[in-house]
Amino acid sequence: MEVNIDNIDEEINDSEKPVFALFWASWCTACKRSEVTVSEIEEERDDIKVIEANVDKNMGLRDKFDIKGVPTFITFNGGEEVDRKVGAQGKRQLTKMIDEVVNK
Amino acid sequence: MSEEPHNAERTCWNCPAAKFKGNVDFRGCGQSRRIVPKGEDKQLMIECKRRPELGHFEPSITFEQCPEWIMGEHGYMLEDMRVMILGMDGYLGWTLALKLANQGFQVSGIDNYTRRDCVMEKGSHTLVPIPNMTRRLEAATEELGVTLNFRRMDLGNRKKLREFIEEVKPESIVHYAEIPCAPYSMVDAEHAIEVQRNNVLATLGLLHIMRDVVPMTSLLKLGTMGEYGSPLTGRPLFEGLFPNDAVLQWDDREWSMGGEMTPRDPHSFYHVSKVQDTYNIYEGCKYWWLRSYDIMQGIIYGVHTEEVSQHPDLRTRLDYDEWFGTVVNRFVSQAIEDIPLTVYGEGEQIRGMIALEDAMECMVRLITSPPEPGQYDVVNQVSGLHKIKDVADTVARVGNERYDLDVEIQRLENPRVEAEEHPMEVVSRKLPQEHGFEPSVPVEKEVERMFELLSQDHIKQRIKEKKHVIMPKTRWSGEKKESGVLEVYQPGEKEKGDYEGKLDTE
Repeated sequence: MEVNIDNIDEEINDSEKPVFALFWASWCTACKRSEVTVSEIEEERDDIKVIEANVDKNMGLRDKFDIKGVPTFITFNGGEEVDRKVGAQGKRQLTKMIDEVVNK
Repeated sequence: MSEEPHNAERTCWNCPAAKFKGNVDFRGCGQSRRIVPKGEDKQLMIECKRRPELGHFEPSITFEQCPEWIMGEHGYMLEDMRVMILGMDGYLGWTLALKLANQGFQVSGIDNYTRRDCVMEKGSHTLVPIPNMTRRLEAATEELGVTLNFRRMDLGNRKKLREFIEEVKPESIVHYAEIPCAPYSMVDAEHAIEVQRNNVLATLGLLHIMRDVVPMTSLLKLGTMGEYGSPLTGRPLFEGLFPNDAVLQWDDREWSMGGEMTPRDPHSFYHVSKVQDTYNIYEGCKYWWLRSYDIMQGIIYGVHTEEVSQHPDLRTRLDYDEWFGTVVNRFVSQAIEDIPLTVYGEGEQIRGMIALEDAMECMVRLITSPPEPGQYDVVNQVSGLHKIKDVADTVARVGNERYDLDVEIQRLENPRVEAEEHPMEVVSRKLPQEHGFEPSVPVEKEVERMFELLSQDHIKQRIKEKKHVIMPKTRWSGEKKESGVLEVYQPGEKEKGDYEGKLDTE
């Protein structure tokens, strides 16, 4: 699901499942492609919550989450950041990242 | 396919009438610079240039919801959308100008008549006669009831171009103003330099004008499938950028390639100019939040659209000389005059192609579905893959069976440096899947339309007058020598080669 600056805290903190977040921008071709992988993951897995946030439309997000480049993928558990990866990632790499937070 | 128009879910985020308000992050470089001041924690707001009374709001109104976007022939269209066509006097530019104007777009355009000059330089002329621009504009008004706002100017004249763009404030710019010719760029240093100057430098100037005057306007830039080359490994020709699941493996490690530019392998100095444009536009999007579709068009052919077929003075040009004649157009012209069709080399070259009418529909769909701010996107605009010798067979067969001709085919020494036998897989998913495009013109249908038009006596006479422009004399080696004939054969005589093209649309 697409989230914004107003509801992202709620979506991360109140989630019963671990959260997998993609921070992206329209101008970033790698992000546009990553969205496809992330949508597949969202459809395939029910053990995590997937959120996506556009850092251009929501300018405060970059400071809030210290986003230094896009795409950035972050996993959260119980509202706490568990892991983050910057730059395009293959599905296998993302699956590994998610498995780690789910099995923690 | 869903009944919903292809662009119904697009929003203000895509719309050229949306103007950013407040702090906009025009990033300086790449993907890692962070220049938004701390404490700025709002969502991005916009103002609608068409409806300023709405004030500042989030860019979330869909085209379906917005009253400025009305239902058109190919999905929603921004009412009275202003489209500027660079190169409006050309084969594509003129055709698109009429199509858009006829559908209610406000069309403006420029041209410096380079194409007319280049074809004249070859000693040729357009096979389908076209009047001068003054008469073309009159005919558009008389026959279609439309007004086209045309200025004669060179794309490289930044001062004049800027003034015109400031005056018109186009909401979409279609860039057809390049010299579209591989052999022309291979004639000698002068021609190679002129092609790259016109194509690369003028486009670079255009990007700067767009940054300063119309940064929200989408740029639809004509590229070419020839940017990719024809890799002998059979690697698919993706739509400009690697798909999400592409991975680079090396030294027992792997990296995602998703979203990175795919390799380019141009095969003339003209194709190099298109590759250079691709990078310049990509950077413009990255630095300044411009937005663009880089349209990798297959070989275009044909004479028909609803508009150009309405009156002889509305016709678009059709070139058949060795420089500017694209392959299908050349073949039909040769068939009409009983000249054996000129296949270069083995004829096993596989190329993406698209008929004029289909290409124009794609353009309307892309104009009305602009990319997002900063988005550089690529579409492969092809409706089928065809082997050159199969195209020759089709043209000869149509000519022989329906027009009582006796068309033969000749294989010539290939003046070009290119693979003559190669695999070819082309991915073309975005136009059908994201933009609702379905090709409607198979090669044979358009070839028949061409025979019908070109068989008229006054047109046949025009081929007779310029027969000398047909045989290739421009070699990639730099040598000026007519290609020798390797063999002459009848259509249907040749066996199938090893490779078949594969078009991946799903």
